[in-house]
Amino acid sequence: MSATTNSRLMDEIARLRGRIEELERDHSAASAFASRELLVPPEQVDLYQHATVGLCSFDRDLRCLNVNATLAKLVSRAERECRGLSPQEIFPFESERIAARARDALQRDVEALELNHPRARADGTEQWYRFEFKAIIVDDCVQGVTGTISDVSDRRLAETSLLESEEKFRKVFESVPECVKLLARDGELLDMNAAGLAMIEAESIDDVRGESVYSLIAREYLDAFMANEEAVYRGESNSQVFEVIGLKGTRRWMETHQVPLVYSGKTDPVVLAVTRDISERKKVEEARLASERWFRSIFEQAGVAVGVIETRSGRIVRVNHKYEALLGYASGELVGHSWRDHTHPDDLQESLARVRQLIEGEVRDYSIEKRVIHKDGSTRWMNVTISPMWPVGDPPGEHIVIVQDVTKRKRGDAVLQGLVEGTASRTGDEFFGPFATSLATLFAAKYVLVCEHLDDPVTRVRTLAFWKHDRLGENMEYALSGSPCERTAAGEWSFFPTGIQERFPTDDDLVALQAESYCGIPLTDSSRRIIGHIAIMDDGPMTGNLCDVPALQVFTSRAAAELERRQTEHELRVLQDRLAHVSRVSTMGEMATGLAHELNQPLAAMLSYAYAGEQTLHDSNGSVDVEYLQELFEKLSGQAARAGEIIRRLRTLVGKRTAARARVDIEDPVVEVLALLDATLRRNEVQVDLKLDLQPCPVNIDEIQIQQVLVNIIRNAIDAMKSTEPEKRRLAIITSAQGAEAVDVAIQDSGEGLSEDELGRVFDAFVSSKPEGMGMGLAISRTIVESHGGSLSVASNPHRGVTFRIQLPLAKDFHAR
Amino acid sequence: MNNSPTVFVLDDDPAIQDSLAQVLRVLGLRAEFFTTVADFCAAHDPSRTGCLLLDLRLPGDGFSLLKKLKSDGSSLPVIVITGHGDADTKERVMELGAIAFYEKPFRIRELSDTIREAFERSTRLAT
Repeated sequence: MSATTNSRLMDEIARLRGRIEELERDHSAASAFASRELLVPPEQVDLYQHATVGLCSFDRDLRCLNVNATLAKLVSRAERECRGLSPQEIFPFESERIAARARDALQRDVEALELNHPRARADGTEQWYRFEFKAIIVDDCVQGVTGTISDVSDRRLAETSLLESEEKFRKVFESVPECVKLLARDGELLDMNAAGLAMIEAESIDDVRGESVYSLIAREYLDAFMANEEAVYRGESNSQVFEVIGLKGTRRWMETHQVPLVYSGKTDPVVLAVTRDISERKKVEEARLASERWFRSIFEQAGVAVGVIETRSGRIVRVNHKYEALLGYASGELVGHSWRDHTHPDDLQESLARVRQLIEGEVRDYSIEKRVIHKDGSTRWMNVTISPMWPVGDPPGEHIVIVQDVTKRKRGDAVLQGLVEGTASRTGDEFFGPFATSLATLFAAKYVLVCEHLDDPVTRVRTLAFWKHDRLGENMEYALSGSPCERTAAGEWSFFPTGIQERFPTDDDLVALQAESYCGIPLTDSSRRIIGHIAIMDDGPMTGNLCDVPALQVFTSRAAAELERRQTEHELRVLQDRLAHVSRVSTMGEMATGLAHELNQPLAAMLSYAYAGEQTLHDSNGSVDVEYLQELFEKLSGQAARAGEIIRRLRTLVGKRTAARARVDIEDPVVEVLALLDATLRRNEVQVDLKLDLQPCPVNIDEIQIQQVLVNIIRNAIDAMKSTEPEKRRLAIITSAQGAEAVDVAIQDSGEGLSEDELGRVFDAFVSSKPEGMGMGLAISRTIVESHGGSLSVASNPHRGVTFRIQLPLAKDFHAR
Repeated sequence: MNNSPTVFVLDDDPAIQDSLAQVLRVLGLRAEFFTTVADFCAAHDPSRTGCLLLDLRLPGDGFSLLKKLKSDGSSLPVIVITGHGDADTKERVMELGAIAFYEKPFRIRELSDTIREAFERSTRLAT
């Protein structure tokens, strides 16, 4: 219910009250006249006769003395007829009650009697008459009574209306959910409805009537409230929002509308105020504001670029800073432009097609990846997510666009592609380096470790590749205890996006690496045994669980397979190494006599030189040929060195040691083996032609094993040439680089040669032409060369003998000039 | 002078040749050096006296030379010097007429004594 309606009701009430007062005044005047004049003076007869009220008088016996025309008309009699009649006889309705009242009036003052005439008025309303009797007193003696009969139908009607209006008003007043109150000056509460009382937590109006509402207004609003009240007293209407504190202390938000209310005849206006509790609305408003603030803060501070776009026109309505920054624009530069302006021309058609689908309602939210043009002219890949802001079914309005720069990921895809291509053809140790490098690039991580487990249950691991900052570092071994890798090594995919040092406080390596985040992936072999793991670390937090990258899972499988292969190969190599060693020892056994003779040569020479020196001194007779003696000593120490060298070679060839590859030039083992076999070759009158490639041919080999291969082949050649005439025994050894990839060592003899059948079986184990041979030499030689990634083959020469060809890969970082 | 006793050294190892040259020099013995059996055979004059210091393992093979000298009825005493000192070899070379068998490394004093004995024998046979 509005304040205006209230005010109108109040006006109506005031008007009716005025009318009642007016009627009462009329009635009193007439009655006073009737009581003063028992007999109507002649000059007043006309007035008497035509008074608006009915007048009559009775003597002490209640016999009618006269009636005026108005009364006569009322009782439907002639004036004269009435004289001498009793009241019962004169009044045709309620006769007894009227007569009794008249009789009482002879004795004492009586109240007026208001009676309902049985006949309704012409307009259908009730007809009411007021009967007022007063004693006529002359000289303190009661002479009779006068009666005044007035039509009070209008007044009664007005009174009934008033009552109804008041009731109606009260009902409204009490039932409206708003607080309706009337205030006098200084906030004095005149009246307040139930809703209002509830709001201020008062039990009843009696508790608060007459008190000032100012005490309920929260202090911070009081001044404004009082000022508004004053304004209302000056005749203004106004509104205000403020907080009240109820009698029980509850704080509520209120909104009040107040108007001045002036009663008829009253000079001081009161304030009619309708106040509603807006706490809920305020709460909603607060929530909305908070939500708006939240939205704005998301909009402005979100890690992603957000924009609001007018869907049909493509006009940018609003973008956050991130959006602008993503495209290289300054604040405010993009608003008003179209997104089409910075979409790559090749992707524009598809983007427009999608927007059309959005407008047609065929799709709601969607994401696409497209290229955009940065302000600097460069092309960037973006993931664009579109969400319409209009409800389903409504015409298109604006949509929200969230843009993420996926250039890096796109580049990552390329890296992934590179990873596929870069590692596809690589196996063994050559796999892990590029693998770790690709992972580091792909995830922009500072550290990537590809580890193999060294024991079971695992406590120590060794890196097969260790990416550190910007390059592959030295591989290392480390203990798992207390490190995040411990969990990974136990088979768990582990992801710690941040705070890794706090999680593993005893791991000093994490501190040394300044690691902040960690992702660990176990590597399992085909029988689900955990054989290694990958650890990816960074010195900043990681976003997005790397474990969730599907491609990574594929790659870890690949790495696991590679690791398994590596381990199998390692086991195989250990076996091969053992076999090679046995074979070497056996070869050395065969060569032992030759080698022993070889050692005796320098020893014999040494003894001879020593004797010569001794005798020279003995025979000198005081004059020593110092120069000659010096020469002898030099020769002697030269032979001692020769003896030492022979022993070194022997030890090198026979001593058991772990296989170790190193980068050497291919000519090193060739020259070494020729030295080793020098005596044998000479004794067998074999002429050696050595042709070494002029350019360096570095190879990554186990030099002893390759020497073993050369010894086997050359001894084989010497044997094959035994039946050849001495002057035709020729052994040619030729090294030659085959492009940048490989180097060949050809060992060509002029021996008896091999039949086709023999050529086919020469590398088979236990096949030997020599009665004392085990037939293992060439078989093992081929295994050794193949384990180096090379090949060993044999072919017949055009004229005489055969050529063995060892082909080995050149060391990777070597580029032929 | 050409008929004065000479030590013919047949060894393909240059260090052995050189060191023996020094020894024979201080011993005051005349020496001539050969590297292969073929060289020696080409240069050898059966009328000359002295002795042959023969290495077995050398181009042309020491054994074959021993056999040849024996079959030729050579009076030149042969002292075998070898790194392969096994009993079989010693027996074989002694059967083929060698007067001594020395394993490398050998004692020079013993060798010089044997050379002097050989010289005497060679000179005696020649006269």
